[in-house]
Amino acid sequence: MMAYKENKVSERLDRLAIAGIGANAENGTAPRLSILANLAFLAAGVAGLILCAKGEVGSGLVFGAMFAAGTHTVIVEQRKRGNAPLDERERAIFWKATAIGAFVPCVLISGWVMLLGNFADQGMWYPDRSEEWRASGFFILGMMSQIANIASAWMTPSYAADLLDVER
Amino acid sequence: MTREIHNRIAMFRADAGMTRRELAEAVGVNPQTIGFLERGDYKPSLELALSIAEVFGVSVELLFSFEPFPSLSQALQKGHE
Repeated sequence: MMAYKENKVSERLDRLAIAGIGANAENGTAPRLSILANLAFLAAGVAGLILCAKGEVGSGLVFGAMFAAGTHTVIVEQRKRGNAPLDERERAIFWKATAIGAFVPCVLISGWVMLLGNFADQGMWYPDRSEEWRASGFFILGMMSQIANIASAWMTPSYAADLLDVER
Repeated sequence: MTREIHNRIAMFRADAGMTRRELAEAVGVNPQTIGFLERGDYKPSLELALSIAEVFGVSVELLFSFEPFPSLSQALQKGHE
């Protein structure tokens, strides 16, 4: 970001400050908060899948993580722009983030399926019960929106400057 | 192509006495995008560049350039020479 003159430390600190002091945090649009929230959703999804694989009821947690990521997306987008449509810059970020969100899970699943071919009978987990299949589906869908949200937040620099001088 | 594009949107906007929000509304983008443009963080489409130039009533070459624009002091100095 040119405003930071490639000074990543300043940019990170700025992002951290926004998350810390809560500037625009009440509506969840601070990018750093968005990244942290979606990492938490991703961790919850992984935990739910592990619980499910252990035979416990974890698909609810996986579904909750997916639902939370989807709800987060809707709230952030609504608070950021209201009902205004995406402009060309936001559209570019949206499609880039969506592509990353779709591509990364595809690569991970492909890797897992390839490994499964060799290790399926040697202890590598794969869905067996219907609940495990359900949880896996929720997990993949959730991961797509969580990764897309993280990518979108990462590509959106700190709002601090814009919030302060939008009226100037 | 990753050539840097310099612009004078902030200068023309200040000259026109417009806020970022007003300029954003005039060209149909969100105010943050004007900030991104002014800082050079985002390269506009031809349509958006022409729309901004239209708002200020100037040609697009006066707003955008591959070469850095001279500062006011440099321009004044050149004028004296």
